[in-house]
Amino acid sequence: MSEYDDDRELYYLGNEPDYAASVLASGFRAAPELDFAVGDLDDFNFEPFVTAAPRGQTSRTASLLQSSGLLQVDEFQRLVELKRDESSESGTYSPVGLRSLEYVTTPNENLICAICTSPFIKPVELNCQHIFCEECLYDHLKSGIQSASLCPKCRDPIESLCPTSRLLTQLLDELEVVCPNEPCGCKTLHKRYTIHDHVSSYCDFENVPCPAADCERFIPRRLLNGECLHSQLECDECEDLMMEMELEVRVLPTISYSISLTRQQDHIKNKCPSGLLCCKHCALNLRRGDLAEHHARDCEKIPISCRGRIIGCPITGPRQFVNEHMKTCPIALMAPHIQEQNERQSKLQAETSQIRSQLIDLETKFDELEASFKQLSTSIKRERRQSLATGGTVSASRVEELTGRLDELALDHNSRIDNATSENARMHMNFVNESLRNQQQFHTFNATLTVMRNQLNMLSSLRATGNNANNTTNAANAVNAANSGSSGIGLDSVRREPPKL
Amino acid sequence: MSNNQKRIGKEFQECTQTPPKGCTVKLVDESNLLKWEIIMDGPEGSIYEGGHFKLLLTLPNDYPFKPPVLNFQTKVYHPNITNDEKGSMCLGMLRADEWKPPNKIINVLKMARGLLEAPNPDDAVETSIAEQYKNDRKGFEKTAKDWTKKYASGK
Ligand SMILES: [Zn+2]
Ligand SMILES: [Zn+2]
Ligand SMILES: [Zn+2]
Ligand SMILES: [Zn+2]
Ligand SMILES: [Zn+2]
Ligand SMILES: [Zn+2]
Ligand SMILES: [Zn+2]
Repeated sequence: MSEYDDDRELYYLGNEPDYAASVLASGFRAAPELDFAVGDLDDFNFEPFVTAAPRGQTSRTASLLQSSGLLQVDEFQRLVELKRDESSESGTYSPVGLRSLEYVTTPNENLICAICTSPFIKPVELNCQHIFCEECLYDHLKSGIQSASLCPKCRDPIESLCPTSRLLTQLLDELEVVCPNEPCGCKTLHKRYTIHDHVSSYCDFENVPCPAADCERFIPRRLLNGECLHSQLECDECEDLMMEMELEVRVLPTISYSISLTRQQDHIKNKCPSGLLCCKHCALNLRRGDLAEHHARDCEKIPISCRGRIIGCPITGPRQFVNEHMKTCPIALMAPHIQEQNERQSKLQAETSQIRSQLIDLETKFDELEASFKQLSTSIKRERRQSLATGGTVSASRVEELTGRLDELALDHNSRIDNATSENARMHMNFVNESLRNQQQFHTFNATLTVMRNQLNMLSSLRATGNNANNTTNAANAVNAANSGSSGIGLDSVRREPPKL
Repeated sequence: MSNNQKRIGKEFQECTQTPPKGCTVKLVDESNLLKWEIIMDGPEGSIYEGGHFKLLLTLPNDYPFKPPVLNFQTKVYHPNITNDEKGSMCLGMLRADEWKPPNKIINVLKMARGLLEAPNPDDAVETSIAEQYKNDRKGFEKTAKDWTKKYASGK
């Protein structure tokens, strides 16, 4: 906190006529830093200023008290309240909130109110000679804190208030501010006491009510031409809609402000698919909608890499150059084949894993089959023993032979499965064939099994109808007949010779 | 009364652009100017050196007529800071009857850091810590250093 001797300063303020000039010369241009944000404009309703406050005349930026002379605290409060009521009743259109103004240079600290930390707005002076804004002091008196009746700075009891020196109000009037419509494009600077007039009557960037009676919207003053500009228009090139007021160029072709792009310009420059733009690689003029294809296919200057990049060619550059390079680059020539091969390989890999899972499936089925097969052969052995016991010798030996064949068959089948599996690991295509063969074999096997089952049935019925050797032979023949029909493995031997009695 | 928004905004800008020594300031929530989070580094050469203390500064709605409230969210062993979850700092200028609207937050922060550097046992809120500070400085310093290591050394 920089403490300075207010009394001394105030003494000069009241007595040194050239103070204003010296302050302007010393402090005002010291730090050209703008540390004020432009806030909303409706914070405060201050009385409009007079258009001009020539040096030496009382400015309306001065407090109401200017005309009232010395006041007691309660009189002051009544006056402020009265003024607030008036402005809220009359509803005066007051576009400028003085508190949110941005100052061009950092004002001299003697012009700063210790409560709001901004240059005084309607300053009043206490009996202790400390100065505050009218509003700030009112808020302090009404704050309800213990020390509300004391000077916020020196804690002297507040007894009376009086208008400040005219020189102070003049210094404040002279402060230069940025137009509050600066964010909208108004780049003008004004003395603080004229800012209200500028905004309320002249600023081209101030939004004013639309002149059309049935339209509730607002329009920047510069576009006012007696018509409502809020109807929607279509872009000539594409279907996009925009408001007429956004097509500033059409409305006011002579406008000379350095404003940011209007929506129409923005649309054509940045969004409209029909808008022309320039390829940044080859400087060709194109419609925006065609740009992607141009880059992907035609642009001769866009940087690409050699087709051989996937196998190590490091060449990159404009398409034209790389195309030329690729005519002779051996890697680029090889690349398509290698790529093809890569693709084929990954396809094969996928197939292999599919087949592997099918094989596992088949193996499980085969195991099940084997189990039932063993069951079958034991029961056939039992059958044979029983038929031996009942004297059917020939048929018994026949059955024994068949059982032996069945075992052989099972072994053979197993070894083939093993072969198929190891081959599969080495070569995918062979593997496919092998597993197909396995599948065939499985079918054969299945057929054989069916025949065996029939035979078993027959043997059972044979036993039931007595020991008819001829019937047994017929049954064996039936097995041979079934086997000869299929191109099975090892089963061929079964029909090598017809069974003899 | 929202006349204070501009002032608070300016003060915040001041505290972020030219922060007081050893302090970094940000808003707890970007949309609320009234709650500031301050990370205060323990002053070099003090028993709190190496610590990073998190403080919450709360501005009342009628700031600057009423004083801001300063709470240490990091545990500190200090005669002028309450040893509870509030961690209220008793700083002369922050008392309601001593506060003046022209006071500024940047000075509050400077004073707070000054109090870390040199505790004021005659204006203590934790009387037992103040007693220890006066009569058993070694023991006080040990605990304060231990706490700083234990609670305030994390980044
Ligand atoms: Zn003020
Ligand atoms: Zn005073
Ligand atoms: Zn303007
Ligand atoms: Zn309209
Ligand atoms: Zn368009
Ligand atoms: Zn191009
Ligand atoms: Zn190449």
